[in-house]
Amino acid sequence: VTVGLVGRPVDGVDVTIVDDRAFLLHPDTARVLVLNPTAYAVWQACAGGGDVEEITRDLADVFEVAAVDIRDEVEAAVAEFADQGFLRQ
Amino acid sequence: VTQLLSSFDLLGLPVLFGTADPAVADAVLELFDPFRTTVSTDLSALDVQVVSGTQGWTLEIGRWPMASAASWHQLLPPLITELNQRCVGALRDFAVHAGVVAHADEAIAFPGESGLGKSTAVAACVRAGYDYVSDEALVLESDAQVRPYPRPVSLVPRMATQLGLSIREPDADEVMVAPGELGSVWSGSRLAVAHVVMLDRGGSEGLVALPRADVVPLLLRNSFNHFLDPAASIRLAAHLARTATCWRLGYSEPAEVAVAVTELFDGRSVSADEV
Repeated sequence: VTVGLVGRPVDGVDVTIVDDRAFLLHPDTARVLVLNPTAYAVWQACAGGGDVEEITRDLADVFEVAAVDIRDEVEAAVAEFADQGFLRQ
Repeated sequence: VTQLLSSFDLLGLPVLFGTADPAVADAVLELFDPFRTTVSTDLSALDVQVVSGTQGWTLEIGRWPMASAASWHQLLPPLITELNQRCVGALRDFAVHAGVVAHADEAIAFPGESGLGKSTAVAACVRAGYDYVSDEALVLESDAQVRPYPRPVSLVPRMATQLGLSIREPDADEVMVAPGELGSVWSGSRLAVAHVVMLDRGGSEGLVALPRADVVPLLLRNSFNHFLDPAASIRLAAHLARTATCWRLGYSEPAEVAVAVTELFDGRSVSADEV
């Protein structure tokens, strides 16, 4: 595992969208994460692999904001996904 | 000893109630009338009895003493609590702690934890002419249709008096009101949730639109059994959030809830005098 790479989403996560919120259900723990649009974009980006810097750059392009403005949010979201067991290495 | 037997079906939980006292039998029959079925010899039925002895009255469930009291009236609250816990605990359909009232084929649900004022709010709505569905649980089948759970309503005596209900035990801490005594009990064939209303007792804003996405965690937080099938529960909660309109209601008096319910069902503003 390369230092800095975020994990990939674990298999079987159930995603339900209601308006601007995404509800992620963990298949084993039944834990639910409620994501705002930025956090959901981070979740989707995790499927593509990469590290926090790459994901931040990609999302900064998508949202047309400066990378420095969203880096902390991306890092926090990735850390939350990992802490709650939604990412595998 | 002659046993007066009654059978009830509490959302699939069969109950066989027995007592030797006609007054007890009549009271229990009235309280659980919406759940009444023909007396059967179903051996799986929950055996519930209220028996008298030299020490007073005892509530027995499965032949085990659950509560004792000097008067059988005092056993009605624990009887209702015990049956409610066993009924809700056995439910397989997605169930949310909520009060529910209906008008024609539309329901309004008030999800929330105990102590929020759901029972009183529901009672005020039913006294205002709407149909009683439940003061305890919003139970949804897989197609999101509502299963009524019109259990007896527990009110504090002051509120029961305010709602024009007669009180048999004025000194009791709570009054058990039969659904039929409260007003009309919903009896249609299909019932869908049209509005989800988050009660905010003490709030002053009246009806304010609630973001749909906020309703999903509200329903899941107050669910009795989402853990049985989490994915299906989230889908049903999301379906409700998308198809119903969602509100927060700040209110002081239960009558204000009835006014808001009239506005939601009629789609127009009304004054308290009209309800």
